Amino acid sequence: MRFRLAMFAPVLVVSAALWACADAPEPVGPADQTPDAAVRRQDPLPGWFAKASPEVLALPGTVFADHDEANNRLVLGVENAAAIPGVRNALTRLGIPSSAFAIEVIEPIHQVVTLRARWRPTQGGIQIHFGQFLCTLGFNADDGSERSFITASHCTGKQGGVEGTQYFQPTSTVDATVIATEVEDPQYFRGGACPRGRKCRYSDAARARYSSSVGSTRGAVAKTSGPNNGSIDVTGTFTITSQDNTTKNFAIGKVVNKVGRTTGWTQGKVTRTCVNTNVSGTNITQLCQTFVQDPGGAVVVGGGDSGSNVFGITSGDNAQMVGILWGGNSSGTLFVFSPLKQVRDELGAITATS
Amino acid sequence: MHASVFAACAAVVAVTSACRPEPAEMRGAAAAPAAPSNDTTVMATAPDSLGFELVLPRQVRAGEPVAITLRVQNRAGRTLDLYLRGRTITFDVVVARAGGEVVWRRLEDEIIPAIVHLRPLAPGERLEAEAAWDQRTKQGKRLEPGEYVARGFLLVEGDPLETPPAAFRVVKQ
Repeated sequence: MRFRLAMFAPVLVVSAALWACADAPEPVGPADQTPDAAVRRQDPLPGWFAKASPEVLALPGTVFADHDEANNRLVLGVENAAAIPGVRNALTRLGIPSSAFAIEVIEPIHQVVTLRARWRPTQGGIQIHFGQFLCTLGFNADDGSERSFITASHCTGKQGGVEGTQYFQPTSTVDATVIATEVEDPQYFRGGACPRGRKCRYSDAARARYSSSVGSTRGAVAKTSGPNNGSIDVTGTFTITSQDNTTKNFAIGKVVNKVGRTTGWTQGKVTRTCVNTNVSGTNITQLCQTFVQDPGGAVVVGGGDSGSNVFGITSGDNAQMVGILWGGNSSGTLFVFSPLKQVRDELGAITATS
Repeated sequence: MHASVFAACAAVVAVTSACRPEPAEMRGAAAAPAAPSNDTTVMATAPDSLGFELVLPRQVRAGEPVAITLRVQNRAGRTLDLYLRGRTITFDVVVARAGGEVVWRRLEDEIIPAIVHLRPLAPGERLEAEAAWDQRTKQGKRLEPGEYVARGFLLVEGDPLETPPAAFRVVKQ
């Protein structure tokens, strides 16, 4: 909204003086007698705007109301053409001539909210906090009738084994509500396919059961403005319409995506499949993992993205869930994920679709 | 004698290990339970608030393990929140010949958990992470005697924090 202060200032000054000194002499300042001032005093637009704005913005589908001083008219914004008749009728009822206003169709204005903000109901891709750590809520999923989310096994108090890790969203400082509690995180095993001296699993994944008071949306993953652009501003939603419960060897070159609290929506191609992967600084080996890189060398992962969903886009904003991200290289140009098949093999049947 | 170089840093980073990774050991006072700031964004500390140091012997015999220590110290008068990558402190070391040719990167080809560790650092408090290097290049060759330069990188949320170069010499056995 733009105000021309010159129009209001003399009136406000006089009003204030009268209010403060009711029995004082008449104001002594010279009155504005210019022709322009006379025109301004007679301008009905400010009055019309004052009446029109609350009426119009109470109507469904309206976006904004503006007194366009530059063009000397009112401009009303609506989300779509269907909202125009209602606005026009309201203005007509207020006695505002059609020559004094214009109605424009415009996209709705969204509040900018990031992946690190508080989200209720929760959805995939947003920040979670436990202990001294930050991770990403991968995706919401039901195990039987239990509302849950999936994140990384190392995003629990102890990697492997259930110790009832309590999660907050986005942080315990912002909201002290325990949103969920860890209920599944199988122990790492030794022997068999596991290299000597190390302990292994096939997925770095764990499940947390939601607190009854905390809402969650199954099948929803927060969407940011575009892949590999560094934004964490949420602009929409991906809908999980299917899940790949069978693949552990993804085709080299397959394009996959992830949404995480640090690097947002990133995308790359599968460069290695079913890779037995040592986790740096530990004696843990993750078996049969998938490597992903952007051919252009974009950063696709950062600290805090652990637990992110990994999915393919099937059409529009529809997604097929394929795994859980847990790690990457030091430069962030490569991420590693556990195939959803292996997550289900270790956590049991889970349903992630909407 | 140790080459010791401090750098003033505005943020925090992490590093990993290369050919024969050994868990980086983190010392210092036990970390108190932490919660991130209200805005939940990375805390960029004021310049000069963090001392950042890579410590290694100024001279080593060829073939002998080289002990490398990365130190971070809070020089500010208030507690700083470090957003470190990994469940334990993660740091990279890059060793190059005097001419600039890189012979070793500790974290090359390493896969690091993509988790953020919130670590409050009290005024004056110091964190240390240690690693040992067997003086083998990424190709597995023994390092030749000569002059070298090492840099440390602390992996944090955002770009890693880099120490100034620390020169050292490898001499014959």
